[in-house]
Amino acid sequence: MGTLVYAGTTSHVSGILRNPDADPEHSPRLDAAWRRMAAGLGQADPDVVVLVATDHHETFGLEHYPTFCLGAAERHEPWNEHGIPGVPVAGDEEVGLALHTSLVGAGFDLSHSRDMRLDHAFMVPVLRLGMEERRIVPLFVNCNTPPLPSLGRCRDLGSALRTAIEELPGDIRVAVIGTGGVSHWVGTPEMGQINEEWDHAFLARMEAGDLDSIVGLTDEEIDREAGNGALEIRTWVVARACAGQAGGRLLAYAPMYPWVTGIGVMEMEVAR
Amino acid sequence: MSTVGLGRLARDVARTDGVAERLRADPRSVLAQYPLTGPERDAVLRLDAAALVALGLNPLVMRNLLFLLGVPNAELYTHRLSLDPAPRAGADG
Repeated sequence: MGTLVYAGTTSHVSGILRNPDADPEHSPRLDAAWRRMAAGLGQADPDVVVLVATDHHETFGLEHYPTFCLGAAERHEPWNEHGIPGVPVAGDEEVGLALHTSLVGAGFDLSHSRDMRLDHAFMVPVLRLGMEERRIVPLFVNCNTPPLPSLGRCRDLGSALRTAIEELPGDIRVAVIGTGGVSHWVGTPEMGQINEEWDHAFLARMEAGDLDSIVGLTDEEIDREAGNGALEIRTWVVARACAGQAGGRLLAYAPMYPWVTGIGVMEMEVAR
Repeated sequence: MSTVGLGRLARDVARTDGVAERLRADPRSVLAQYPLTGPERDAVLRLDAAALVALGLNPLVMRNLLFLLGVPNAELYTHRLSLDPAPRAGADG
């Protein structure tokens, strides 16, 4: 059976790669946090990393916009949008297909893609956490094009993903990493604002494994208080539920105004 | 439904060499190649963030499109730029 050996979450704004030293006060702390996360991931040494992220109308457009989509391919090309660097990354077609089969069997009618390109939501964590040589199975979650899947549905998906990982054949080691958030506004008049108070409260709940209170938030409330970009916390919910309702450890938080985003980096204890 | 057309325009501006330049040089000819409504064409010509979002374009896509056409992120809703040589209505108001 497969084993979940690592779980974590991080923000993914493209400024992380384009302008890493943007804030002398916060950049070194964030750099240290990502180094610790990369070290934790390295120590866990997964065979495959399930990256849970959204897409910013790069891979998917209104011609077809899935709610959830699992990538099952031997290779994933980057878009390199926003001027960020990117490299093709190895996928894992066999694991992607097996997870897809298990999840559909569990009642999650995900799309799947045999040729899924990756935008910065995936590529920033790949590059920032040194995962270029690891096999990546991307799991897309619609976080920006209504109607969005509910937070409760995302929690259930995370739980089902854990079961699907444990149903994988062999002794495969799997990590799950969610990417996105925390507070930020994209393309709205409030763009540039960060709600530090909301971010701290959300991260504290996530650190405590308190998914019940998080899935009780409405999208209207999140959008109003923390911005349309904060709707990406769906990816954190999936990762958190996959890890199980155990504790987490906030490695860093910083209101990165040069990146117009509240940045959170967290490791999660994997419940056994 | 033609927000699909706006999405295609945004992708082409981002990914296809020369589209942004042609759009700046001869916006009406370029926009005629996309399935846009009149209000959508006018909103693109005016680089009008609020109108584009009101017409249904995702704010993420709108931001990318306007940024690539020269509108700074901090000025999305306040700039006085335009693709159209005709003055923007109310710009001096």
